[in-house]
Amino acid sequence: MRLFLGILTILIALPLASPASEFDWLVREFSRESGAKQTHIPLFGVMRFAVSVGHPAGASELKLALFEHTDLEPRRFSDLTDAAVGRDWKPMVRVRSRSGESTNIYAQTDGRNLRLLIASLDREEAAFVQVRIRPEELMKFVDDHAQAKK
Amino acid sequence: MKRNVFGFVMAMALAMPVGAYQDLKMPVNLDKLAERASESVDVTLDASMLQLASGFLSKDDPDEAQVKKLVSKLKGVYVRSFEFDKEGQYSMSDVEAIRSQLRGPGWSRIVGVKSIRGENSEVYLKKDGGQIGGLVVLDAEPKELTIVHIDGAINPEELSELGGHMGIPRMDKTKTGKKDKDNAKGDQ
Repeated sequence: MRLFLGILTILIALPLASPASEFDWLVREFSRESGAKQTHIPLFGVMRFAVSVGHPAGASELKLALFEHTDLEPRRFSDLTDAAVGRDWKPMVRVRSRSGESTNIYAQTDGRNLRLLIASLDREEAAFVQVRIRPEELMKFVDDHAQAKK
Repeated sequence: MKRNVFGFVMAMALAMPVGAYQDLKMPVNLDKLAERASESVDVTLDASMLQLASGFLSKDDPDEAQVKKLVSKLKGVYVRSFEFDKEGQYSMSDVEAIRSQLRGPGWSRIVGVKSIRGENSEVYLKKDGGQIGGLVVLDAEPKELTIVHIDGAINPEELSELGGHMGIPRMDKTKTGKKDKDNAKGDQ
């Protein structure tokens, strides 16, 4: 029983204890620059573990960080995300408005997987999401659910 | 003299491959334009991203399979769009850097529309051998500027198939054509 619990703990801890990535660096830099603290999401660790093991809809990695009461210019936000993600991530979509909104989507190929990093600032709120998906499996999931709906 | 000739030949030899493969570049001043715009959108899909995006299309669906085939021939899709609060916040000189590239060899302007309301639309095609090697759409309205660059081999007939996929709106002409065909059948 102890052995089982030990293995389970390691399995749960593994995806959470992965080495610091561009995502972690980005979140840390944003927090430092904006002075905002990351919002706690209850049971998000369990959700990440479920995604890394169950691969729902072709997703095998999920990272999410939310911030409230931020104070950062969209231009600065864009520069910060560009610098933090580095050259391995290709900027795919950039949307910036003078009303304080900025969204940057970066992509990276990982074998047959697609990794997306989405950084979004909406006036006083910011969200960072990183997912790794297998396009074929995601489409199969969408098709299966579309057929079930019919 | 000999050294000058050798230097010139070397410089040409080094520069030629760069020139030959140089694609249309979005000029730097467009980034400055983004600072003046109330909203700016920049979409960059290079060949590797397009290949991955085509993975979202089903092989079993005939329509999607055709789009997949079309996308496989593309080298990139680039969109720059700007919205302004007031008229006159950008000038035609801002897009001149793009226009000057489109006056280069290989490119030809196939559509030019001007309206008295200040709306200008232009379509440029790049000839690559016997086929179309790229397409640029410049759409300039008093408070809006959009530049679309599709790089790669394009078959105009296949292009309409992109409508309704990857966020590209379905083209009305296809619907009209279908309606016309249906009407024609009804008339018989």
